[in-house]
Amino acid sequence: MKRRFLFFEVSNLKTEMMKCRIFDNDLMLYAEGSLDGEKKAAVETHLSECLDCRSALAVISDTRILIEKEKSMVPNQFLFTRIIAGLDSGKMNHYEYKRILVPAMVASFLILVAVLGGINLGRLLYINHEDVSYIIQEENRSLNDLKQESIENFFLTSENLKKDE
Amino acid sequence: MNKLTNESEVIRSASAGDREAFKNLVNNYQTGVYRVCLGFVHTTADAEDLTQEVFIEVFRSLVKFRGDSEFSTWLYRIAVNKSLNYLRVKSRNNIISLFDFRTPANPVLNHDPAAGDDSSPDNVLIKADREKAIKDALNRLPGTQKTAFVLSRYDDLPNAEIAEIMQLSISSVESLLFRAKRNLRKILLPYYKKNIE
Repeated sequence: MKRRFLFFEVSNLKTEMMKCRIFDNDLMLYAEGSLDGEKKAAVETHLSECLDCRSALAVISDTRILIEKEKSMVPNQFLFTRIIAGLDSGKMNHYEYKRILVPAMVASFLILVAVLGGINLGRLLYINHEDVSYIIQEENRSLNDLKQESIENFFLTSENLKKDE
Repeated sequence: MNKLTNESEVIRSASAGDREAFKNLVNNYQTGVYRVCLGFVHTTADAEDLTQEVFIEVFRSLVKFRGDSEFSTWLYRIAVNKSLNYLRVKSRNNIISLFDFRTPANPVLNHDPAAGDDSSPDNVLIKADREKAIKDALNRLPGTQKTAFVLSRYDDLPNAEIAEIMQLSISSVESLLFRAKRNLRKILLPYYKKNIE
């Protein structure tokens, strides 16, 4: 019973898809308004039942409307003057300006971020030398014998040691 | 024949620096070039900048034009290359738009109620939203499909001329157009289904 129901569903879906394919070619003509008579009525009946085809028709119509709207636009009447001005000045236009200035701005922004980041990182890692000065002094004292024993004493002691030998 | 001879004379004069001859060329082709650029970028300001760029390059490179192909084919090739290059640069710089804090244009405020009958703010917003969806879908098409579609739909060029501009066979152009339409529908159908239901 279940299998038969499934078979029925699948075959129904196939018929619907077949129908959509048949009407697919007519949708464009319908959108252009060049269908009439029986074919037009058949497309309209199918459209009232099928959301996919209604959506496809809306896509076709809206795309056509947008293209017609953009096609109706005309270039600036001073285009030739702009071209000549561009040729004479050799200046960058808006497009070139964007092409060069934007990467330059990004680069300077990144450099600024890197510098500020470096300063902040430096502040984080900065050691206050006044706080640790006593440690440094201790270390220096053990490393620097001259503070404990003057150089004259050192030589005198080494001379005496040699004499003793 | 006469037109061709005239055009080749005009091109020869323009390449020698004759600005009047160049003006003739601009007048003859500016609408077509502008439409193609607009088909790629969808904003009038950018399309005008690109058209200007195309003609500046044409004037500078006219000396190199050997006449192996039609002048219009050569011109459209420059327009297509400039437009594709512009889109490439734009997509690379898209991250910059994250730092663009300007308020986007409000379609309801910019709408002129006297211009059309469906002037309710809801309709204006829906229309603007759909236009944006279509433009985005067109921008998402692969370069070759977009080029074939724009040349065919925005400038009504025959497939043979598109094939020459794109240096492909006519059957390849037909296939590109078919795939462009199918992809557009594939991209837009989920959006429309959601909004039409």
